[in-house]
Amino acid sequence: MKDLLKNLCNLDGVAGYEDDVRKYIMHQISPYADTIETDALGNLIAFKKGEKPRNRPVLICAHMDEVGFLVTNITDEGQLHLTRVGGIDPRVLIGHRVRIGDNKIIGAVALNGFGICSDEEIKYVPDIEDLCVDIGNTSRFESEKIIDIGDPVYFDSDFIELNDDCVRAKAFDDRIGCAIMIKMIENSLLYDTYFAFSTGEEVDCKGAEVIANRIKPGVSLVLETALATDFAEINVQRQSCRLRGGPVVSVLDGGTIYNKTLRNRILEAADRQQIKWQLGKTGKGGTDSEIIHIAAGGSLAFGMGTPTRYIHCAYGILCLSDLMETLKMATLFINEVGECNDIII
Amino acid sequence: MIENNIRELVEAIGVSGNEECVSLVAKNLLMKFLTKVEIDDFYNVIGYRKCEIKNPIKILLDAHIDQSGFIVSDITSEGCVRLSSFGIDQRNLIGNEVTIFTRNNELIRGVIASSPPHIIDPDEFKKSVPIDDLLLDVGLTAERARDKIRLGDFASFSNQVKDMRNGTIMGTPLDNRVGFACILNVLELLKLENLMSELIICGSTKHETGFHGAKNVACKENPQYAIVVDACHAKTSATPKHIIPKFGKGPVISIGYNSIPQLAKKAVDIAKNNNIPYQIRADGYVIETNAFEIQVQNNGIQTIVISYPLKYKHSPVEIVNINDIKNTSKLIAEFIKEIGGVVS
Repeated sequence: MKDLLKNLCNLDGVAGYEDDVRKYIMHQISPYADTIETDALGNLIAFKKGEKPRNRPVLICAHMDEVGFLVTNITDEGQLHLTRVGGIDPRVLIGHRVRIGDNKIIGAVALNGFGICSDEEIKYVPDIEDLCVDIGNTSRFESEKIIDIGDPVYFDSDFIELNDDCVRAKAFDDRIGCAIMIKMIENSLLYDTYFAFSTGEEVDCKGAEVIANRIKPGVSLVLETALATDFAEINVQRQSCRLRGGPVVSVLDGGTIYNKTLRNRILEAADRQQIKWQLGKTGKGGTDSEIIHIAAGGSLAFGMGTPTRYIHCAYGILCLSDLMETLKMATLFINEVGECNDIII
Repeated sequence: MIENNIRELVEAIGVSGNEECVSLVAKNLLMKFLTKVEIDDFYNVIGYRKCEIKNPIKILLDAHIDQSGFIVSDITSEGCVRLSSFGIDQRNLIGNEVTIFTRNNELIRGVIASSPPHIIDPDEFKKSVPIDDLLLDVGLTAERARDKIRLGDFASFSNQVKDMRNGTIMGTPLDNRVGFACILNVLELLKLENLMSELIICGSTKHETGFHGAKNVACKENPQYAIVVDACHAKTSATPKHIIPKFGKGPVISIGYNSIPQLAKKAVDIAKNNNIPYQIRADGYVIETNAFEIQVQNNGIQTIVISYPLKYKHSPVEIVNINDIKNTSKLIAEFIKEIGGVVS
C-alpha cells in the first residue's frame, strides 16, 4: 500500500491534466477489472464483478486531480505569474519549490531576502496572483522557450516516511482514495461494484456529475481525505478529526447530508469487526458526493475520509494505519450494502 | 568541482551555535589543499597555506559557514514542537519543512502546521504568522516527541540543494556555504602559484548571531589584510531601489568603511585588467558581514568585502549563479596575487 501511495502522490495532475495519474491507475487495475472505460472529461470508470450481482449499481468514487496552479503570464524578467486551480492559501506557497509542465522545470516562489523588508512589511502576504516563480532565467525570451502559458505548476515535494508510521507527501487529496480503490479492485469482491476515478473535483466536482449520469448508482461512497486539525492552534470547535483515530465517517459536509440509516448500519458492522472509526465533527469542505448523490435521480450517500493534516499544501501528513483501516471499512461497505434493494429509509 | 563542494557543504547541518557537523565537512574539504587545518573552540575551521618567505604578509580569507535557523522552545501535549527563530522571515514559515537536530544527532523532519484553507476566513490569507504562534508537526506521538526532542535543540529549514537551469543552483543554506566553496576554488586556482603571502583560511561560525567566530580568529591570527566572502542580495522584480547588484553579472565589490576604498579600488582595477566581470556596491553604512568585526581587531585590519549575488536570502529557496561563483573566486585569486605578490 505504501509503495502504491508513493507512486500515486509523486505523480502530477491538476484538474484537466490528470493524464499521468489516469495512465498509472489504468495500468495498475487492468489485470483485475472486468471493464475499464474513460469518457470525454477524462474520468476512468472500472467495473469489477463480484460473487453476486446487484439490483442497482453501487459506485465508489475518488478523484485523481490535486490542487495546483497554471502559468498565466511570463514577465520581462523571465519570471512566471500563476493562478490557482483549487483552494490554496497563498501563504503555503511562499518559500517553496515548484515544478512546471511536462519537463518538470524547477522554480522557486519567494519574496524578498531576509533583512530587506521592514517589520511592518513582513506582516502581510501577497495574493497568489501577485507572486512570481523564479526559474533561474533573466529574460522573457529564455523562459518562453521552455514554458507555455497554461502549463500546470505543482509543489515540488517527494513522498517520504516521517516518524511513527506517518508519511509525508503532496496530493494525498485524493490519491489516497485512488490507492484504496486500486487495492479493492485487486481483491475479489462479494458484490458487483463500479469504481470511478474522477477528474476536476477541485474545480466544482465536474467529473463526478458525468460519472453519476452514466452509472446511475443506487448507493455511492466517496473516499476522500478528512481535515485532521488536531493541534493546539485550532479551536476545539473547529477540530474535525484526529490522526491515528481511524477513518472519518461523514455526517455532513459542505455539500452533502449523508444517509443516516446506511451510516448506522455500516458503523454497527464496523464495531462487530473491531474496525476503528471516528465521526467527522465539522461540516466544512465539499466532495464529489455533493454532485453524485443528487444526480441521475439521486442515490444514498455514504462518505468516508482518511484523516490527513495539511491537505492543499506541499507537505501533507497522514498515518498509514488510518489508511489501512479505511480500506477495511470500504470493503465492509461493499458487503453491507449487499444487493442494494434492502435498504429501507 | 564547485558544484560538488557546494552540495557537500550545504547538506551538512550547522545552525549558529551548532556547527560541529559543517565544520568537519569544511575541514575535510580544506585538507585536500592544505596540510595544516584546525577546528577551534568556536568550531571555526582554520587552515594555513604557508609560504617560503620569512615574515610574509598574512591574508585572512573568511567565509562564514553557519546558517540561520530555529531553537526548540516547547513541546506541546500533542507532540508538536514550538520554535523560536533567528534570521528567518516569518512569511516563509507556514507549510514549510524544518529539520530538528537532536542531542543524539538524530535528524527529525517536520512540517510547520497550517490550518486547511477550508476552515480559514479568507482575510487571514493576507496575514503572515509569527513563529511564536506556529507549531512544527513532526508526526510523533507526544510521548515519543518528548523522548527524542529537548528544549534547546537546534533546527533549520531542511538543508538541500537542487540544480536549476542556466547554471543556477537553488537551495538552503547557500548563504554562505557557497562563499566557503568559493574559497576552496581560490585555493584550487592558486595551487601552482608561488605566493609571497601566507593565507589563513577561515570558515567562521556564529555569524548569524553577531559575527562572533570571525572576530576571534582575526584577533588570534592578526593578519594585515582580510578578504571577507559573503552573499549579497541580488536585484529581483520585488526588491526596492537600493538593491543594485544584478544576478549573474559577476562578483560584487563593496566600497565603504567596512570594505575600504584603497582595497576596493585595487580590486576593481584587477577585475578590469583580467577581464573579470564585476559590480560595485557602495556601502556607506554598516554592511552585515564579518568585516564589521574583523577590522577592529588588534591594531586594525584592512578589510575588503567581495560578495556573490544571491536571491531570496535565508529562504528555503535561495538561488545563486555558478558563473558568479567562478568569477568571484577568480577575482579573489588575482587579488591575492596582486596585494601579496608572487615569486617570479
